[in-house]
Amino acid sequence: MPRFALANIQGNILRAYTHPLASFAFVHLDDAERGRAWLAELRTRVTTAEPWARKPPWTVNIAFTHAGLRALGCTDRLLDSFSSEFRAGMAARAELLGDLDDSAPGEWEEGFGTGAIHAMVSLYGLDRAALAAAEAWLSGLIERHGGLRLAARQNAARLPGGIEHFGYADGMGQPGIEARGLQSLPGDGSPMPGGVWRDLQAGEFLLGHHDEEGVLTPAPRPDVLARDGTYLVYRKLRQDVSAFRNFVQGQGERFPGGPRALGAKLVGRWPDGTPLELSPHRPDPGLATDPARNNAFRYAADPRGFYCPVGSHIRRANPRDGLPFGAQLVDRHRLIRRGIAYGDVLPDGAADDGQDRGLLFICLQADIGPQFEFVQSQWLNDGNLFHLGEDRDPLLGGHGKMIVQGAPPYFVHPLPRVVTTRAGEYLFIPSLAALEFLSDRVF
Amino acid sequence: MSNVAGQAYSLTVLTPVLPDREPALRASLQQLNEGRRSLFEQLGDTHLVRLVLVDQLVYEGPPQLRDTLTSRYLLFTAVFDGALEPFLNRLCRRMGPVIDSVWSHCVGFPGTRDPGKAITYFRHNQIDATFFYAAYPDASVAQVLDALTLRERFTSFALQAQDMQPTARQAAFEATFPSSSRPR
Repeated sequence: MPRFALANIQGNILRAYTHPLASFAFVHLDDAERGRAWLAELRTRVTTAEPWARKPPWTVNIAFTHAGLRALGCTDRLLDSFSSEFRAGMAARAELLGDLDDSAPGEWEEGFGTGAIHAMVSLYGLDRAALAAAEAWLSGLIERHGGLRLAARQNAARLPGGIEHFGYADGMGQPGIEARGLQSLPGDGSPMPGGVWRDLQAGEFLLGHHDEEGVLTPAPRPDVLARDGTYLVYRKLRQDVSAFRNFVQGQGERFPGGPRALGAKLVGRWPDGTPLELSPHRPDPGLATDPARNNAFRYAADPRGFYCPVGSHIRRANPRDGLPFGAQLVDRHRLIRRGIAYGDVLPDGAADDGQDRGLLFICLQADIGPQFEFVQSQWLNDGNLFHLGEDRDPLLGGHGKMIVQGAPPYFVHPLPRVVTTRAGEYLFIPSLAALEFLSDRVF
Repeated sequence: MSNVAGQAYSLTVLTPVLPDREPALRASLQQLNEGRRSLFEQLGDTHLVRLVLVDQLVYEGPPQLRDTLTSRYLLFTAVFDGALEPFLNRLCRRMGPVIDSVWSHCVGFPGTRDPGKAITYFRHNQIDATFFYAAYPDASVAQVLDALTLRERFTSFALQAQDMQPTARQAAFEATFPSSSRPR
């Protein structure tokens, strides 16, 4: 029995949408009063976390940057109560996040990281017609109210087979959250003795609830603004698919097991999603497509990384019981991932077509610093906690080496740059009551 | 003695900040941060130095109480090889102007013009550790730096030698790391 006020929580937080298409509208507010009037109307259409009798053809959700909250007319006192990372914005955190050179904020798409983006309206659609209807509704709303404009738009579409552009099944391994009213999948929670997985405290992902430490995560004030809200991290990650394929093919010829095995060692799963930890020598389609099994694994029995390398992508992104003290060093750094692919598929064997494709990485958490930024800077962009020196994630790192543990070990070197950050923002997803508070000028 | 682990010593000094001097202290601390190398490197044998401005230390846990310190504090921690007295000597004699720029904002600091008085000030405000978990209880700074250099060289060798035949790899290893130069 869920104990959340589901009507107060925006959708796609506790439970992922499965709509295949999406359109993200990045809005700039020129006038606070008209912005609030626009929000007052928009919020009546916001999709909540309440269960659906029938899946709606299109959904609406909204999040704000710190600059956006200021543009709505929030007082300094209110603005200062948000977390320091959110106030600084993602562009200011570039060095910590590894957004350097081609990924530096100075190279990002127009408007991102400059304070010009105020709000992100997320529209998901069941099909093209539904998404078009959603976009038309939003355009109409913007035009009627005036005082705001579309600064950028980003379309997205899930790839057939639930894969991302490098060809790997994506989206597994979401945190199990207590009292959601949903049965969590094995492997999603915190690994406990006896093969049990414990759901995580809601406060890791939703403000105003108790977190894994048993206290309320630091949250903005007043309570109506914070409660049932969360922070959203948005990163447009361009993937150089042909560079990745060429690299895996080239290195894979020297790798014992060949290119497909090498690719699996980089990721931690076979392309179909079979976890290396459960099936280190070959994919297992029955296992891969069974949600009760495809995420039910641990690392403590494989401390040397002979099955799933210690530095592989999924083991870095969520070490489970692979760090000391059970899962205590991991439980506070979990992320809800709601990313979606963008751009057309590059067919197998096709040469680089220069097209923009990749992943809109989206994660949700109650505290950006210890969650997203920690995972990015300590687990992905560095190897120290895993006794891997300065080695970085093989997909995101872009240079250096990766060790595929074994007897003998194999060094994957040099790692190519295959992912570039093209845009990013830190946003806050207000609850429905908070949206009312923001639009009705109660402050 | 709880401040010692192997050859490493952990020094912790807590000094109250003079009223209203927090902004000036922050500025002094910021200046220390400029440049890629630490100013404290000149002391030698020093593993780690940390300076923290302890602002209000507001207690935020359950039950919801607000509890603060009566003043702000400057926390100075250092981990170095060897004994305390020689370290404090080096600190107050070699880094006089830097020490003055920071601790002049703290209560009762006598300045480093008379290094002996400054040393006494630090000893007076020292807090003993209850438990010191040392990163390198049995390796000096020089040994750690040598080991890092060696690891870099070895990694470079391992990457180059990956595709060699065993005899060629053996020969390359002997050439790169001659027996005479290997650490004991």
